[in-house]
Amino acid sequence: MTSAPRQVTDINGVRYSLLRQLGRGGQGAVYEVDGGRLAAKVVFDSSPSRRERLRNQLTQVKRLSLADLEIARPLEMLREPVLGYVMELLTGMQPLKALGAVPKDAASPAAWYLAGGGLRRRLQLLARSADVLAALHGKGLVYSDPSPHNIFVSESPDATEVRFIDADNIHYASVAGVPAVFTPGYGAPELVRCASGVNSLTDAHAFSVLAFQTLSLAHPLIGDAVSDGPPDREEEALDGRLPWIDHPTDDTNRASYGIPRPSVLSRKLVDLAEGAFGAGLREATKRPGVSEWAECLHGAADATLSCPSCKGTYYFTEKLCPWCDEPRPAFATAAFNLWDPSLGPGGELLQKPAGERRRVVVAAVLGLTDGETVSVTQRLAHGRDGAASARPVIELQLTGSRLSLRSVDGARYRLSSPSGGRDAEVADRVKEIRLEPGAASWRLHLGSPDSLHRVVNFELRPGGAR
Amino acid sequence: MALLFRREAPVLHFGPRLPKDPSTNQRMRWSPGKRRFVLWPALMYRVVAPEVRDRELNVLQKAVLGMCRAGTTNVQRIGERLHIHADLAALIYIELQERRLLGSNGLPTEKGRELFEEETLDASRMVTGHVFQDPWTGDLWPRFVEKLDYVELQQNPNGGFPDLVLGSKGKPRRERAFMVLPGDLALPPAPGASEIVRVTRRHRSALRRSESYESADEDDTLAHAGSVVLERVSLVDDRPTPVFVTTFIYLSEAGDVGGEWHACDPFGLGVSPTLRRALEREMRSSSGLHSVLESMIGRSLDEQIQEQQRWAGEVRAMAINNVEMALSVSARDLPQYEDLVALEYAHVEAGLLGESCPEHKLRDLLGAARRALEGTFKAIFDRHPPRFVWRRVYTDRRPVEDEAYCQGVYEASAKAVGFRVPLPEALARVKPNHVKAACYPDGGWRLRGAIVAAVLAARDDRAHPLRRAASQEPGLLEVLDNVATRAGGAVHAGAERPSLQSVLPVIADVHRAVGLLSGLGQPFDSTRT
Repeated sequence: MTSAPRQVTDINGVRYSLLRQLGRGGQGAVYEVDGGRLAAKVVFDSSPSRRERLRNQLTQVKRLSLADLEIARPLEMLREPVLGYVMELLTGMQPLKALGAVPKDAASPAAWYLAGGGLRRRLQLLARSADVLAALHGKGLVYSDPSPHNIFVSESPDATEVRFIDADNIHYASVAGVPAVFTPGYGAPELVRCASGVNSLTDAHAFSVLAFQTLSLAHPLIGDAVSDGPPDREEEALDGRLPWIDHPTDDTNRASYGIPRPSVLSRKLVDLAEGAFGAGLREATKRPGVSEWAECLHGAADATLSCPSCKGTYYFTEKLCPWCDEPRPAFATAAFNLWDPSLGPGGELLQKPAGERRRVVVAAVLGLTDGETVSVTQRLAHGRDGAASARPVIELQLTGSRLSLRSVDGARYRLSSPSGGRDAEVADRVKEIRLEPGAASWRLHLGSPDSLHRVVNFELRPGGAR
Repeated sequence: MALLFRREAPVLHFGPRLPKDPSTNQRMRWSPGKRRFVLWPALMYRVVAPEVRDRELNVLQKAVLGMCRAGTTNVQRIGERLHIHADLAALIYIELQERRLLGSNGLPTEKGRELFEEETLDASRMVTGHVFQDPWTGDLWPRFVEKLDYVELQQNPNGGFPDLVLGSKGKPRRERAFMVLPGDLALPPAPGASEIVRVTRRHRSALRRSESYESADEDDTLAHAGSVVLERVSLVDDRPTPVFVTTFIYLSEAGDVGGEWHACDPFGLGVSPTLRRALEREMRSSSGLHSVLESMIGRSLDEQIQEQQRWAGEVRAMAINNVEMALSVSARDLPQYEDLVALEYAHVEAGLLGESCPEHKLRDLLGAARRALEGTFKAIFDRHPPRFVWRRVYTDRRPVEDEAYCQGVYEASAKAVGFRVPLPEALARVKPNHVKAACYPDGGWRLRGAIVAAVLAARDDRAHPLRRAASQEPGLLEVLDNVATRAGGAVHAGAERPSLQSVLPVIADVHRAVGLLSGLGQPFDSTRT
């Protein structure tokens, strides 16, 4: 069957009227279902054995507990003679590829980059995508084919939802020799060479490529030597026989295109990229996993500020906005430390050895731009992951040297004075504290006073100079 | 006894939304930050009932299509048979052809035949769907829903009611919602077949209007279930499923006098005064719901009520002042005094609201204008009963069917009384039975019937107030007819939307007419007539 039916029926007998075609690939097509909430994927494959295998695969995926993951999973299987499934309709979403390549008609690549939400949004979208993959790997599953076509993200530049589509890609790790599905350019070298089946490290490679590409607009393995060279050079590059474009010592495959890496990759992200495309390119076990990417991407997104001039976002370690050269304004940081009351009065702030000295443990650092409302999420407040991690707990807004705090989850949070002698409470009404450069601030407690919890120390920092 | 409704009950979302503003065809808006979601309880029954669909043909289109289907394709003959002008028949005929319901030979196309059968023969397709019952009163919501839409919920980590997750997948938004949890209620009796049919009909008429399901229409007044075979209507489930439906309360962006709040129909068909009344009822026992409303309004309900009362008192004082300015303080002795004050109250209120005066208030104002005139004629009849004047257009207890004869009788009387003739067409064509009805206090009379009865009575009564009025203003009947036309149009659905500017001259005419008929006013400005 290659043409779309007008109506399909699921195995429970529920009928769905199919409306417009939303997308079509090699395997099949996705249609909007009448009602505006569902979509149906119809697979066109005439081989009975492949149909049977796919049906079994889909049935297996439907049984997996994926409800807490941002994956458009099969809700119901379709009844014969149609092969396919019903899934949620991704309204207001587009493939991640829309953010990975400058359109030909874009007048200014920088303006286009910023219009798509800029650096912070890209980091957040990638971090949430990495969260999904990491959670999937945590269940012993692999997605098999992470690519900018299979990850959908919010169309609106002020939203950061992600959904993985094509749930039929989800497998338990496979062995070498079994045909693996991957998108050209994103397959791990060992997959390209058919030396391995899909596993969490092949997913990690694909994710590393799309993260690097989405941030820098350059493919990490396609340098000038490849794009200007013969076709078989690309094959060499993708199966790991050429150095990556930012190799620290080998410049044979440098790329003259893309955004300068210091503007879009934090130090930790550069390290991850080196791990993924340097040592990890041919040795999969040296490759950083997606959970490392998730942590660093979240951390990088937290460490960004908004430029008051061009509204672009950049790392607060920069003195000037890389998009418009405007000096960085004064800003504040919220450092998330650990508070252990069992350590006794005065020593509750958890420390770790750093050479011969000891340093306070920093779980995360959040940048606060003047005039911008920033949410402390469950991830920052309690170190949560999964679907609930993005839920806001407290809203912060910096105005000059004043910081407003407001609880948005209905809970009350304790503020303790720098000396620890006085307490106040953050509830659903705005509470304001004053920050002074170089001086300790009021400390926000994000947990019960008698158990280990995170505390936030705020610090006002000066602006940059041209 | 176990509670009927629990927090875990499913929540259905049918897209509650504000109605459209007929003048701009844009959906009305709520004031920023002045909207609160409410989860309202309902008992859901799965039923087999007639399919609800919007009608595609109006009554005349249906009649013309039917004539063509019967082989009468000549517009002249269609006009004669349907008692409409041939030009109108031709216009409808062309409309049907443009919609490809009639072919070039004048006979219905296949599409036309199908549509005619669907709409006229009412061979309603029976479908499985759901009806919703109010758990307190046992009344059915006038809605029939085939497909259920469940809303995504997010449990609140700190307890409380679940949040609604609305918006698109790409940009979801969380909305706090107040769940109205009924206490220990007894299960109301299951709805009967005729009740189910009635709600499907009311749903259809609401779809037609898409404004408010509470306006009465012909479907509501049907004592029978039409052509639906009631035996085919049945409950699929014996017991209902307790559910919550999402809706919201809001303050309109356009604003209302006294900060009036509204409730939306949970089924997406505009504003629901019924739900508002039900919410008010529940607020008396639910402090939570009460504070949700107060937080939206931004002040306490008691303050709001006091403010509304103060406002109402001030407007009434202005209205009384205006009536007495126009008709002197003697107006207080008129039997229709309260009707006049009510008219002036609506007039003052509309004037204060200016161009932002909502349509329903303008329609109310026109209705009040008609009631003021009706009250005036009633007062005239109390003092000058028309007795048996209707006999002039009756023969042997039967109304005269010859319109020209009746028109002649009316115009002769009007001329004898001193009014200008010919009479306006609508007045000249008043049916004899309407004149008769006006001659009896409980006859269910209409304004035009009363005007004609009064004219007939005035012919033989030298002291009749119409004689005095005619001597001062011979064109008075034309003015009264115009008021009847405008006010009559205002109360019918689908009529042209009135504007404040178009309503004000009608009100002025009523003032002057009442003044002339009561003997307390001034003659008309000659330029007005």
